[in-house]
Amino acid sequence: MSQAPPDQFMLDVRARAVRRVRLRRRLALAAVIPTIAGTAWGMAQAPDQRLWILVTGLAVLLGLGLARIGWEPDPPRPRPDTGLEGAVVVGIEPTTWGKADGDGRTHWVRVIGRPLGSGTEHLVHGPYTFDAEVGCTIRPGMLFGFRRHPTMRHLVWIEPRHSPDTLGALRRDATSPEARPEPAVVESVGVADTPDGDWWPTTVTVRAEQDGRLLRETLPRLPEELAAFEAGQVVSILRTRALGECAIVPVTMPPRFDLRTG
Amino acid sequence: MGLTATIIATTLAVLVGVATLVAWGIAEVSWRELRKPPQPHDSASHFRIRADVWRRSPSSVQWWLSGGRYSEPRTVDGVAVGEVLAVLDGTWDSDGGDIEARLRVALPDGREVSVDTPVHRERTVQAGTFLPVRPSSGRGDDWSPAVELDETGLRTLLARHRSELGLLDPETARDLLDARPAEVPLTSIRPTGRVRHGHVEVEVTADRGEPGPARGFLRPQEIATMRATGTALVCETREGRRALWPAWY
Repeated sequence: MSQAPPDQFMLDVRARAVRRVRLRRRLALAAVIPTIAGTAWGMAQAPDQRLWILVTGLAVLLGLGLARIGWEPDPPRPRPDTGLEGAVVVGIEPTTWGKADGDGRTHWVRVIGRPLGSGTEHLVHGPYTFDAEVGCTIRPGMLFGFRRHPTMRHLVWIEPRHSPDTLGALRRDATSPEARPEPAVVESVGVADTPDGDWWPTTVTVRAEQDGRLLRETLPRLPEELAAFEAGQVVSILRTRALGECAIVPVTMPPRFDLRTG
Repeated sequence: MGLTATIIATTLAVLVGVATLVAWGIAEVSWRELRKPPQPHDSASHFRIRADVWRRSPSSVQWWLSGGRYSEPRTVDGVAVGEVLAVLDGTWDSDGGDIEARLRVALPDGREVSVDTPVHRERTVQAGTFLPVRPSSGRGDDWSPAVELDETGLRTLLARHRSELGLLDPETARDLLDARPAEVPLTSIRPTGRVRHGHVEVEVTADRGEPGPARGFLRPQEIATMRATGTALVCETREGRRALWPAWY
């Protein structure tokens, strides 16, 4: 991963913040001399109260100093119109904790993902929210949908909702629209010896709960994705027309906790 | 102005004066930082931090949670290995210190308890991690992290727990009690197809010049950390086999 340069959006946001803080800085500095002069004059006029006047003057200076310190969150990037892509969650970084905003329930995380079929260096990341009272239910190995900002390589817009059907269709042929999800139990995982980069052809064999038939799905997967396929684990499958095969419905990230942009 | 008022006013003047200097200092530092060009976030930093914690684990629970050392580590009885189910509401210390986090933890007997603890490394404490806990003295159902436990006790406890879950074979679990990891550059991470308790067994092949492959059960985020940093932590058993250094927690 190489460090990407800032794009125009970041530079504009920073320039606005510099202008805002520069104005506050100039106003504060302009008020310093009158405050010091006023304090000195007051101390000279009322020698008995000079310590209290000094305290008052210092308090005003403290207020001016505090007024210069201000942090405002960066405004959200607009949702890009680029095409939908899918990625596997490979890392979760908390970025804010409790009482992070007005409602006191929203936490922010930075989700790090590996776009489907991509090379080792091509990680993407984007902000996402979860409910502080429930905890973060995003797990590495889950799939999510994202759109790339046209001027950024790694920072992406993460979709607020992640349809398993849509994301599943990004990595395999679409299943019949009549196919209905049904439960199945994982029997075994087989891995072929010819990876495409970090993506290993894996065959997951499941037993359909409905009729007890053994079905399988073969897809190139990251090792990270296999955690969801422990023997005995219940998964959701869609039957395909090919005999003995199925499509396993991918486990996707939960919907974003709020619908703010980020 | 009486003596008492003079003392109070002088004290206040000193306190407010110091606070004023600090406030103006912070404002000036922030201003200088703001004038630097913005840098987009690089995900590599996340994996570097995780890899560093992994390399130095198990050390102590106190160190793992907050980066600090417990002053008097010792043998502690009655410690169980819980599993973090969720990291709930926490209070962020705006000075960059610990986070007062609330963890929901599953105990080995199936009970779920709430554990309040300061956390500094928020990346490491995530759902699915193993946390040595013990009952808080005299407070019924209250549990707290076993921060006093010494490293020998901690290794024994966590290696046994992993062995019981099938994540380590008994010989490797025994050999890990006094092993140290070596960092090796890796060329491939091959899944074997075995999956246990949210861990995926992988076989790591190192660069030419290194001895044979090493196997181990790792969580998805640990596999991603190895790949992102391009290195694996490997140790050698007494029989000369190579095993992946577990993430312990």
